[in-house]
Amino acid sequence: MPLRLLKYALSKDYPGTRFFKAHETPKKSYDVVIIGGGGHGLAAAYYLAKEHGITNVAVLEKGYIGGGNTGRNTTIVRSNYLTPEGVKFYDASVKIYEGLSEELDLNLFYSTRGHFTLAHTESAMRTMRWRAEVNKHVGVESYVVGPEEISKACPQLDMSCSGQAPILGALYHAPGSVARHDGVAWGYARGADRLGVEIFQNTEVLGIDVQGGKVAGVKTSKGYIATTKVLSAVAGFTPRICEMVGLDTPIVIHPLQACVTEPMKPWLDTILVSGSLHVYVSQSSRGELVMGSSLDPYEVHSTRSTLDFVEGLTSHMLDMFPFLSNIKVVRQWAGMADMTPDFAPIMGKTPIEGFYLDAGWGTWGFKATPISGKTMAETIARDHAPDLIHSFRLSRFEDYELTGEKGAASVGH
Amino acid sequence: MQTEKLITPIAHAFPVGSVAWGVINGMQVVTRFVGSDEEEARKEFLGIADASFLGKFGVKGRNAAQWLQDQGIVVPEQPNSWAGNADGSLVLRLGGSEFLIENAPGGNLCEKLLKADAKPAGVYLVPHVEASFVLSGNAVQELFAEVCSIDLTRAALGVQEVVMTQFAGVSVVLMHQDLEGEARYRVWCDSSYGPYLWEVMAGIANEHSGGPIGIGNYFSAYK
Amino acid sequence: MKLLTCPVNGTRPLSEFVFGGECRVPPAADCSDKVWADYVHNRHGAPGIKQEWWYHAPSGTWFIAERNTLTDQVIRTFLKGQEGKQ
Ligand SMILES: Cc1cc2nc3c(=O)[nH]c(=O)nc-3n(C[C@H](O)[C@H](O)[C@H](O)COP(=O)(O)OP(=O)(O)OC[C@H]3O[C@@H](n4cnc5c(N)ncnc54)[C@H](O)[C@@H]3O)c2cc1C
Repeated sequence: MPLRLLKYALSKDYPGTRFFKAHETPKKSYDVVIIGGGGHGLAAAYYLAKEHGITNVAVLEKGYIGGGNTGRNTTIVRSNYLTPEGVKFYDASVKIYEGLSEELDLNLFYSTRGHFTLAHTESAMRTMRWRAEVNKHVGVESYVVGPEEISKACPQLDMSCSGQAPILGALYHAPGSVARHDGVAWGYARGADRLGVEIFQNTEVLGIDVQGGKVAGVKTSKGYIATTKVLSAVAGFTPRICEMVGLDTPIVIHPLQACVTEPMKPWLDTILVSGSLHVYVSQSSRGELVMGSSLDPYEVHSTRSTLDFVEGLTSHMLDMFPFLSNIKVVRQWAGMADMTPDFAPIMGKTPIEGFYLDAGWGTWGFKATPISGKTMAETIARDHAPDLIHSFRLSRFEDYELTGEKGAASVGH
Repeated sequence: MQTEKLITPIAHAFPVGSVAWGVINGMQVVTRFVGSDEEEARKEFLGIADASFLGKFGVKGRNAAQWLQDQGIVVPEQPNSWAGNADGSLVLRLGGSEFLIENAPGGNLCEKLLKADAKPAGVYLVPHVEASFVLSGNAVQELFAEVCSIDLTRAALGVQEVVMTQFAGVSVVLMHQDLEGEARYRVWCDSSYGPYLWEVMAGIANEHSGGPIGIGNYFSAYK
Repeated sequence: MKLLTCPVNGTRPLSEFVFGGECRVPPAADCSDKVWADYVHNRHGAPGIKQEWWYHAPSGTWFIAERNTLTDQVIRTFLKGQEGKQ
């Protein structure tokens, strides 16, 4: 290590190998243009190249890669959802995650912790039993546990929650994990770059050229690019991109906030979620408690955070862990969550030929990064969405075939 | 047949034992929390009493003001203001066209209004079963500052103002009144939040050498 | 603390209010299924100045706020039907 440091200090040029080439000027045309250099856009680029041999691809990112929700989320990966289509889809993602560090040759600090969704009321217990049955049916390891097991897994937890909301039980989900979010973006970026994909940072899409109902190209801050296939993978910016092609969707943007404490010695092994107290928490590999809550209550297209949020969140954290009263919150931030009415994503084709949508990731999309990349790549390559994402198509709203994922997605992300 | 017994909506917040219970206006309430000297002292620092037993009557609609006037009730002119009737009952104008009337101690105006002739079009009854409180004392503003984010000092409140805001997360209606020569505040909230709000306010009152007291300290009719 | 001004009760902390979504006009009752589904599900999600329903919970007052959803600045609030009045 010191030798390598010396090399960096003495050399005029940056001697390390970059994760991906720093392209400046895009070509005149590409087979596929991907808008958004978050995990989803980069993963789609990677699987287009790797699994479908489509390498003439540009990823356009208006800021820096991973600077959107990918780098702002609280990194919970789980598949204990409520609907069979949801459980199958997220389970496929968890399976890819488990081998992803190896595949991308980058340590993603993927750490399987076990995930408890606490129930403080009989009706919450009912939902937990329901979720456990759906999960079991699809082959996902989730089951309902009682207070003793929760106490054993987390002895620090005040089981009465300061007498306010005694814990009756929980849904336990063994595969629940956390990972390093920016690592996921960087790993996919490097993988895609090695296969020939070109990644452009500081390159904003300003308009989409649609002619006769078909995509013809994109207008960017670095000029016009001709293409017949555009993937929008911009999470909180989806309504703005959709406006460029005149497409209305049910997506509404609400800020979602999170915060971390100063680092502590490791004491919290598991991931804990409480719907009634509106909090969830895990301990990062750096020792910080990573904490979050439900959405801000109204539409704002901004990543400003609020004092109300930390006040509300910490008071509930203290109900669960009174001994944290002297621990400091050192950072807070917000992302823009692209919310759908049924708490499921919108993926696949749209009425505009060549315009593909990967959106509606709201508060739950980090865990889906690998599988959405894979399925969107297939959708673009074959111009046909695979069965796994059929339930998430945009036309489900017109068909009144909404999914019902709210019960498993509103607080635990 | 069993006769129904009303009990104050705040009952769950009251300690068992030590306090003295009684029945006022058909409702079981605590009439004394500690010795009368100590209650007198609490009242000066920060007293809080349960007035939920006072009869209430509500009406709303475009003709509600006119109808009340026809019944001989004083109608406050401004939205969010209150007026007192000659018998000591209160009339609160909640917003533009909704009214809450509360009996004077020992009065029965609300019962009379309830029995009054069929209401004309544009007059709708609104049932009221709120928990209601009386607050007084030197430290009352400190309590307000702890539970509420808006300025409730007397200067800010004006004379006849009714404020609808939140105390410790619970929606309340609040007004200030000089009663039997002293400054008091009246607070109403949904009865299901009554015990919670009582605990919060009584807890703060204790920190300021005050605390819960019997309603007789405020209304001599119940001494 | 964010503040919002209720046209009846004055300026209050945002925690006293409930967001009711954008003010929208339903299509005619005999419209096509497609138009109706569009009204039920789709929203004008892009940022901009919008008129929205807000509810002051302690007093039960519904009113309209004109707000920039990009900057979160409230331009004005008024009761329905009293748009022009002060
Ligand atoms: C606080 C918080 C906590 C969360 N917690 C979890 C969690 O625990 N588990 C979980 O699974 N999910 C969680 N999520 C959700 C998850 O973060 C997102 O769903 C996911 O990261 C979306 O990834 P993405 O690649 O689609 O979007 P992003 O990472 O947001 O990437 C979109 C990119 O598009 C770029 N872009 C936008 N417009 C343009 C344009 N015109 N031109 C060029 N580029 C553009 C943006 O700059 C951005 O980098 C959380 C989200 C937040 C905000």
